[in-house]
Amino acid sequence: MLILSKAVKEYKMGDSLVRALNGVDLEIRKGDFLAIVGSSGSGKSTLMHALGLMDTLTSGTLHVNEQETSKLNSAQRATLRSQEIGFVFQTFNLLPRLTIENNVLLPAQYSRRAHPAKLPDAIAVLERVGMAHRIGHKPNELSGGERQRVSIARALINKPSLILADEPTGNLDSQNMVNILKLFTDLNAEGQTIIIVTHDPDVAKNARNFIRMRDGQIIETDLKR
Amino acid sequence: MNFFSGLLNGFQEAWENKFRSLLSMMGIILGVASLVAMMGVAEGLIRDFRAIFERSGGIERVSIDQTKVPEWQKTRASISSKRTLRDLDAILDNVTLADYATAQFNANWKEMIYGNRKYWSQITGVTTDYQPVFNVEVADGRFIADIDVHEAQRVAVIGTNVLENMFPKDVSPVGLSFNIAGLPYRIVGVLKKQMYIRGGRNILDRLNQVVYIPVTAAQSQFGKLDEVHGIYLKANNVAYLSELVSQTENTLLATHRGIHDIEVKTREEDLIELKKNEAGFKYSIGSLAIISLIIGGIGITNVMLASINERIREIGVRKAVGARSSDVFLQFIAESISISLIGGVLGILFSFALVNVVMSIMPPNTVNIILTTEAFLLGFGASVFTGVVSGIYPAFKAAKLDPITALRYE
Repeated sequence: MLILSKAVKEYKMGDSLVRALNGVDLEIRKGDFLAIVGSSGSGKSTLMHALGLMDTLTSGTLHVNEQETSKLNSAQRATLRSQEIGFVFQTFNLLPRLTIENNVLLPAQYSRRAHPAKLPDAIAVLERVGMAHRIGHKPNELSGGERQRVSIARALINKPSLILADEPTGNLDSQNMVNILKLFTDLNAEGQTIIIVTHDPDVAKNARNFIRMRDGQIIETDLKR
Repeated sequence: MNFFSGLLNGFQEAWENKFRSLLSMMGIILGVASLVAMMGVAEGLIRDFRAIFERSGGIERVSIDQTKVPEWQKTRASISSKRTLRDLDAILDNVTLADYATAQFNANWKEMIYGNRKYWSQITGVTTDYQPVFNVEVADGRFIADIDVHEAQRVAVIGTNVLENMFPKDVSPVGLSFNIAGLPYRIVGVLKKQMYIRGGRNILDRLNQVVYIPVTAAQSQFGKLDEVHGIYLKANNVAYLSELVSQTENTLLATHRGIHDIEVKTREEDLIELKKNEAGFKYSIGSLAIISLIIGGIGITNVMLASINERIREIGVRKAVGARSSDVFLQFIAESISISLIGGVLGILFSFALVNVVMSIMPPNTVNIILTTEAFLLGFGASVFTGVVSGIYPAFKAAKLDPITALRYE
């Protein structure tokens, strides 16, 4: 589903060149539940941005559903991102002015599908994450755990191939962390491909597979399939 | 993301930041209000000019002026003649492109007496066609008739000032006799009062001061027989004015024995001058309003930039979930337009208040302000245009934000 091959990402930082990804090879298959772990500066966020088509590679290739993405322009990447990838952020990133319904439907505005998701679809995904009863509320009326559930519903609205979650439990208490991880596990059990980027080994344990990164390289792989 | 939801976002944004939005809209509000109000002033002036132009015969009126004999005909100058009733008869017989033709004899100011009342008035000798050529309206009785002219009857049609100053109130003066410069005249009609008040005075009042008598009676009492001071025609189709001029010139060349001592003049030049003045008014007023709108536009740009700085993470989120740069650009242009639209509507409402204030400050009937649909549409269009222009830079800035940087923005 996603094949990353010899991925290199370099940044200029002042006069020096920083290699954030250094020849990463990775294959994500449909139904995987993968945790990318590593300490700060290991390259896991860069990898996530590359996999999420938010950033381009300096060299190497990324295939998403057999489509080579290095030749795509930013508009094409945005459309592919909208259709194939759902993001879950550590800080939820719900838009405070919008209701839960409109937050969830936000990616549908940009999907460029003939039949974009509408209210019944929003209700369905909110029901799936147990938040349908808060559909008319604003994000500031919700707890952290609830906001993250809404954020997951937003990630699911366009029925993406992959959910990319960046430290999804980083801002949650332990009970909410358990609940959110359980939700991810359940979604994966239903066939949803999920990648969680985390520095927390306890979170990583919930995934079926993991890779560990250091200095822009994968140093440990556990891909039980 | 469509343009409409961008507009809704903009309205929502304006509502949530009411005071800031209102401040940013002030320039647009004042710009649109002054544009609409000034257009109203211009329209009022233009209509005044046009009304006066129409009341004095409009574009259809053609006049025959006396000119000097040209240099190349100087040897024949002795046979040059004034304008006469023979010219009028020739025009009436031959100029088919005119519906009406009339002659005018100016007897100037003469003393009139009725009983023990005396009054001075401008006496003008005319023919029957003077009424349609100059759009004269009679309120009581009738105008000078052909038979009055033919028989040089001493009959008169008087203006309302003459009526009010010489004759009893509440009784029709038609049938009464009075003296003009020593000779008795019978009143056959009273003119409709002409009113067009500007600057506190009736600028058409001189038309209420006149006394019309048959041109032949005027000639016999006050001047040389046959000479007239003006000949006027009313074209039956303004599309053929130049043909009418040729036809009249040819006719008059015959009665003037080939001497080029007359000039046939249309009012096209007057109309062109009038239109130039109209355009001049509008451009000068428009340029004043444009300055206000530019200031308004800067206000919107400022607020949009502030809004974007507050919403950098939102832009990052939108891009992360699939918004293209063009979507973000469109969203912020739409928001800018929505602010200017609100400003435009408030500006139009404010223009009514502005007009009322101006009207209440100025002496009565000094200015004539006419608010037209054209002015409203122009004001509204100008506000939308300002919204688009002032939103371009902020929208471009928002659109080119890198999503990763935007998401990390604190």
